[in-house]
Amino acid sequence: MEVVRLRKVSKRYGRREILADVDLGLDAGELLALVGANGSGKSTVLRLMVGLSQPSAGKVQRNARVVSYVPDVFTSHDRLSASAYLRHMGRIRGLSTRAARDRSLELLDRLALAGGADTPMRKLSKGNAQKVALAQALLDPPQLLVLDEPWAGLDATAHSTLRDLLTEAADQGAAVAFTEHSADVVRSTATRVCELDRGRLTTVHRPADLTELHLIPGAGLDWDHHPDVLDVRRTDAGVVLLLPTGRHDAALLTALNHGWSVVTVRQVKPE
Amino acid sequence: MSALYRYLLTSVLLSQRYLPPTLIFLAAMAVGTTSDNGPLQSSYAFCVLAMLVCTTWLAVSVVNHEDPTQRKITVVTVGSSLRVLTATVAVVVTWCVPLLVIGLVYPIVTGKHTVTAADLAVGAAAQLGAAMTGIAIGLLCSRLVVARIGVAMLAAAAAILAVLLVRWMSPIRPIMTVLSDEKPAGANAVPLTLLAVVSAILLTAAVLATKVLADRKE
Repeated sequence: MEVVRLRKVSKRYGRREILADVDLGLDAGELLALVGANGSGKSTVLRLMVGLSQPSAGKVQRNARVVSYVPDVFTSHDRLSASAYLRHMGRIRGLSTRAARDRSLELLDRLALAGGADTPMRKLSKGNAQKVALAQALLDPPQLLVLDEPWAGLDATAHSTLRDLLTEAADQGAAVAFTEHSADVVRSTATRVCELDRGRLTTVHRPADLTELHLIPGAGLDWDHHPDVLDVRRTDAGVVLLLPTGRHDAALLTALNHGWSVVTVRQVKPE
Repeated sequence: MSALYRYLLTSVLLSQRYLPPTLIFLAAMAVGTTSDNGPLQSSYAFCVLAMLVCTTWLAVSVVNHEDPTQRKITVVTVGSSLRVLTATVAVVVTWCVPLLVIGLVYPIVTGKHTVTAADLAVGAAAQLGAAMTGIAIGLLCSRLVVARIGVAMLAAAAAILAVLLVRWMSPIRPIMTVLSDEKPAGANAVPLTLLAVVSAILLTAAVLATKVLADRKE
């Protein structure tokens, strides 16, 4: 079942075009990763999905009653404690007081924030505030779960816990959409990847369709801003590029023409 | 809606952001109405002025209290920015109730007045009208509409001056005119009730305008 569908959606702020003709659907149980450079329109797509923003043209259809959203940065000057905030959010979602309390504590425990449950929100560190934002999104099993760079600021333990939580949500039927810059996270979490380039949806592929190129540098090439490259990792032994399979040939040719050497070319499977 | 209201009220109460406008209101009452032996309705005219300034400040403080990102979460969770705004206004109105009671009782306790039920009704209608107009101004000068706090403060001050100086711009000037005309309270009850209704309409329009303007920024 399709939970949300963007039909020929465009978004403009004044004369600036943020999105152009984006056509994208999201099914229940799917984990969609939106990738692309900064300013490519990923966050705008997410805001359109949850109804925080309205399209300048086109249509957004949502078939979800319970919608959860995690913004890219969660800041709060609230004197409410994290657990009290979550209890309130649970009550707003229609949970009983007891259910809201139990679920809050369970999520805080899983995200390793149980010790900070009574800390006022305004005193939480960036990572812990992010955990609270994630917990509120998962209080009630959502039908549509939208997260803007949810891994930002999380420690290693919470990193993998979040991946598990999102997978569980999808297994329970939630349609999950998130943005992320780390190719490793995208590969290990998403069931589908959509790439945005300056407001246009350029590629839709499965993570298994990614190719990793391990190269030894030659003449100067700016891979960070190459339109096909999803991720650049620099190692002692060279540079590792991640590209959609099918687009890697052209990048490979460019590298060879500039005197770069190829160590490996391998298709990447989800972990 | 009640859960949302409880959340916003608890959050605002813990923040203590209501304190500065409340203290200003109490100070204004103490300065302007203590030991006043003139007509009670004239004291209530002063309360209207204090209530207008206090509720404008209070509305700006309460609306700005929730961080923008936190508010986005609340809006998505609730499913409607209008419902969040309505609940926010309900929180401000709740805080206005004790202020209104103080505004009604303080001049009577500290001054020498002959008090009738009609006087109290007139005072309540007048201050309610002022409170709703003040909240309307506060909403339109909040962060949801005006991003810069300095500009918002100037806009709020200009709006308060405008509603005090321009006769038919809002119900405030007519309310103060009616309270100062030295007619018996019974004769002023109907026009002041009507002006309070106009203030309620003004507040509703301000809520809708704030919603539209805030949504357009997204």
